[in-house]
Amino acid sequence: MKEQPKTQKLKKAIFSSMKSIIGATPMILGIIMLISLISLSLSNDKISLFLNHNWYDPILSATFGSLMAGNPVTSYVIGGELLKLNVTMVAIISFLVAWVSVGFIQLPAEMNLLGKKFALLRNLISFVFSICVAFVSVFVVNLLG
Amino acid sequence: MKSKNNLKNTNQEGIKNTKKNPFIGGFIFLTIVCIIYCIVYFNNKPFFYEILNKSKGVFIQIVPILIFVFVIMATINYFITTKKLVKIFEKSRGVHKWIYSIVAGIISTGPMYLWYPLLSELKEHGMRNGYIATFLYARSIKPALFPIMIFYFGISYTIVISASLIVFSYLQGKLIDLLKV
Repeated sequence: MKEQPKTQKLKKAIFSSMKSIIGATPMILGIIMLISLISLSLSNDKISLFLNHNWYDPILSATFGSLMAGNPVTSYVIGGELLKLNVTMVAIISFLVAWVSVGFIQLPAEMNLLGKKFALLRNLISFVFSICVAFVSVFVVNLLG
Repeated sequence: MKSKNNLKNTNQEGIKNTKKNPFIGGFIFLTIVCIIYCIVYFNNKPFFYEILNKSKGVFIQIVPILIFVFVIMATINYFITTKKLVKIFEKSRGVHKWIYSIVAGIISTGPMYLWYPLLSELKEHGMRNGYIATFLYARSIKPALFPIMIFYFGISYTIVISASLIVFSYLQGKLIDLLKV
């Protein structure tokens, strides 16, 4: 008799995970197709939006990450493909961290439920921290060799 | 002070404001990209096949990792429930509360907005904003996605980024408390 709730729990866990992965698949597929198109269309080895600038690139990518929402798998795919296009690691990490920590689209709900001041400040700090995390991570990895 | 019913209504309104089907958005995006591919096909067939092969190659590389991600996600979803997380929060005190906020953030799953109503209720019961901020920032660490992160960025970056996120999630909580938000 004890097996039934466990089976149900397992089914629920599998269903929830499957929903998450299947839900993200069209976006992942679209991103891969679009990046393949862009990377083969560009004659130079870098996406022209990124300038390989110490501050401009991470701020730009953190802004993109903050504006976008969805399954984080998608952000890793984008980040990984951008890396192949020689975009700097600092810019990529800023993008990845901002994607999951800053919720610009979810901001109205966050303000409504957790307070306006808290939501605005938390998102602002998260945005700044996404760039800090990127610099610290790259610095530490370089230091470790 | 808000009554329980008011809080529930506010929560539902808040969720309604942001909740949308991510599959539909992704599907629309994919359709647009497919249309662009059709245009490329009619203008430059060799280039079309080149980009199609590149996309196919990348996707085939990712599929086994996505399967692995699915297995880890299902395992986490099976063992970790919202009830368990709330219990952990309520029982912990002092330094442990910071640690549990980080751990709870790391192992929590699902979109961020789904956690707002629960956090709002915990706040009503006296939970400090610092812990909430720490919890939300620690959600940036996704153990289920480590395989895909390692695949793209390597194990060193995966470890260092995760460690940095733990430190910064604590710093964010402390900062929020310090600013008395």
